[in-house]
Amino acid sequence: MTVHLGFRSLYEQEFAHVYRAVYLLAGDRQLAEDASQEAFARALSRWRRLASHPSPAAWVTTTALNVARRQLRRRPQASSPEPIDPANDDRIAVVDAIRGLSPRQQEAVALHYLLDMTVAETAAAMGIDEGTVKTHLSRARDALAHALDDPATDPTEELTP
Amino acid sequence: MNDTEIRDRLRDATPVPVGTPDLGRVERRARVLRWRRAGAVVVSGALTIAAIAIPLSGLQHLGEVPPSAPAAGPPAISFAPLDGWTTSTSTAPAFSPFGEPATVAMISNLSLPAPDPASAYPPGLTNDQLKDLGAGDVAIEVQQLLFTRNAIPPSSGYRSASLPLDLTDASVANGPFEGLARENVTAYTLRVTVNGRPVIAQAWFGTSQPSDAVLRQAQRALDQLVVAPAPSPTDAIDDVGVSMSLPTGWTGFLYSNGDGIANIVASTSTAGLDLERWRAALSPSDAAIVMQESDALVEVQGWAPLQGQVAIGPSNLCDGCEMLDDGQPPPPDHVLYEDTFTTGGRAFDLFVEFGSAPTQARLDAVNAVLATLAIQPIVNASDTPAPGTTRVGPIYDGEDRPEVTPDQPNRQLTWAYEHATITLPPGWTGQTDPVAGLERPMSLLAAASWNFTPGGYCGPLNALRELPTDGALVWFDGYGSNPPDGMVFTPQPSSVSLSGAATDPSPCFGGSSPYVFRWSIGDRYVVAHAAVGPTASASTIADVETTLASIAAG
Repeated sequence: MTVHLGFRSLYEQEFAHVYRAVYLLAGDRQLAEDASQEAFARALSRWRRLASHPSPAAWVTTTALNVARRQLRRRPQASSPEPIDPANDDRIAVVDAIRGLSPRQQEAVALHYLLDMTVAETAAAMGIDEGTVKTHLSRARDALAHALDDPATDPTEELTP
Repeated sequence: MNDTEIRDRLRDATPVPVGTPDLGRVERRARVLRWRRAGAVVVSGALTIAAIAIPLSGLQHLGEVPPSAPAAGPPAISFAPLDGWTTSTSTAPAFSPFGEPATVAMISNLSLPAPDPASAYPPGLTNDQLKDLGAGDVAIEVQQLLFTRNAIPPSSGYRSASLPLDLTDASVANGPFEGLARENVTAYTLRVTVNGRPVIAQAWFGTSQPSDAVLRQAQRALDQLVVAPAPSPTDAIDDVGVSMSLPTGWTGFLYSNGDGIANIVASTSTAGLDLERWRAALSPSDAAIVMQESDALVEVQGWAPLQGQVAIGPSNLCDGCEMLDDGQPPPPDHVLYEDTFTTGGRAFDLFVEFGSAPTQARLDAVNAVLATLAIQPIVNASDTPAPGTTRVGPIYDGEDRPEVTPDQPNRQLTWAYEHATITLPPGWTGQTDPVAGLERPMSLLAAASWNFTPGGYCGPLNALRELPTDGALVWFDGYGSNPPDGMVFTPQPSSVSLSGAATDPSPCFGGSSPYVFRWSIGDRYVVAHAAVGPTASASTIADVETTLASIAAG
């Protein structure tokens, strides 16, 4: 994990990751883009402070997920995320599984799997210990395995450090 | 399923964005946020350096350009004359009718390049002025960032100080600074409360290591600083068009940033109201209210209008949501409620945090306090700019220019990022994102029969104020592909007539009632407005109708 010193490089290198993390939560490209941009704007607006953050990318991701959650809460009940290609059952199942996780679990999944953070880096970014991160990720793996009907999942499998 | 497989499945399930969106929108949004946050910085001491070292602009004029006139009465902050130095005091008008102009005082030992006179926010030195500073050059600016009638809570970020300020107490930061295209610049920053006013003073030097001689010069200049005593504080929570009554046992603080944007912090905690600390200091029996007027994330159409009194209930429980945009959930065991509402053209983000799960009686007690909230509406655009100012606008960031000018042969105005295009009549001007900071609906495009001023609170107030009696203004907002619930959109017609069209008396338009059209265009939902001066010719009205009909989106 690289600590980015320049905002532009952070934006260019991490936008896609943040976008995908939000999409995983929201299933809506427009919302993913809006929330990601809002999060980067907030980062830029406090960049002097954030530049020394251990992981600006994690901060942006967390903020983007929060922005998206707020937007989702404000949506009318009737509205639903954009339709996903029905042929892509896998994508539907994955997105549904992620939406079923708690916010902290979603955050851990996004940081670890989409931003390629190690467990230690994820823990540092989330302000929690590594064991809790592993618990979050383990539950996420279980949920994904269940959603994808993958019988091969070994609940005792070690996470990539 | 191992980690690699999970990673692959997750990535397969998420689309890759089509390129990285233009950074310009992020930058513009960041400017708005940064300026809004400046006052909170005063309270929280959260940032090392406040929002001055950024590529924003001001109305201040140094050197050969005469300074803008301050608001009526003596300026709260100024520099006494000093031989060989240029001094000035300028103001920027507030964002809303309830604010008072923000004052910035400057002193410099050189004639700085004149700032762009079309720029307005925030007041202060611009990057253009700082980028050519020489090693012996000094430019100092001082401004008040927080305004309140209440006693200012203790803040580690703004210790009490008396004049003259001492540069040796300053925090020193070397470049590069955000947006400033050189590294060898140094800023000495003092954040202090002087004569009851929280001020930030920054001395800029065009070198990484200002010499002792230059620092002594800067100190001489800083010795000239004059800060008028602030009025005696009051306990009343009543300012910038918002009031609230606090019962015994509560302490509160209402402040703005010189912009008329209300911020309230009230708590039963005895630990004070320092925003950096009060959350952690809430005991299990404590409750706190934080309410911010949301000028940046206004989302007026997305937030529900207030029905009856302000109150929180089970539907407002906000598990895991952030507080005050800091991206942090509540501390463990705390219980956080959030509500958002609009009233009278103003939008508010309300948080109530309890130190532990509240009983119904505690909820009732907080709701009794919230029930005392009184919020004045924005009913007209009667506030006027300070003398000498050339721009007025709540969210104008000083960077917008007409993108289609009257003499430009290409009459197309396109904002590719927002997928919208209009065709302008001959002689009209046009601009994208005319109300910067308006998030939902997104401000798309505006066109006018004159060279209009962009910016506004939740509508193009500046342009509406300027509307010539024979002129016309057309603007478009967009909801993307997610229209608000309950708003009716009809397919875009092939031609438009103002005759018999509906009007929209929204408070966002400062008392005017422009024509309104709500259209679906492909999968996009667009709201078009048109304001026409009372003596506009038939030709101008025809231009309006043609412009309205020209919108393409998607």
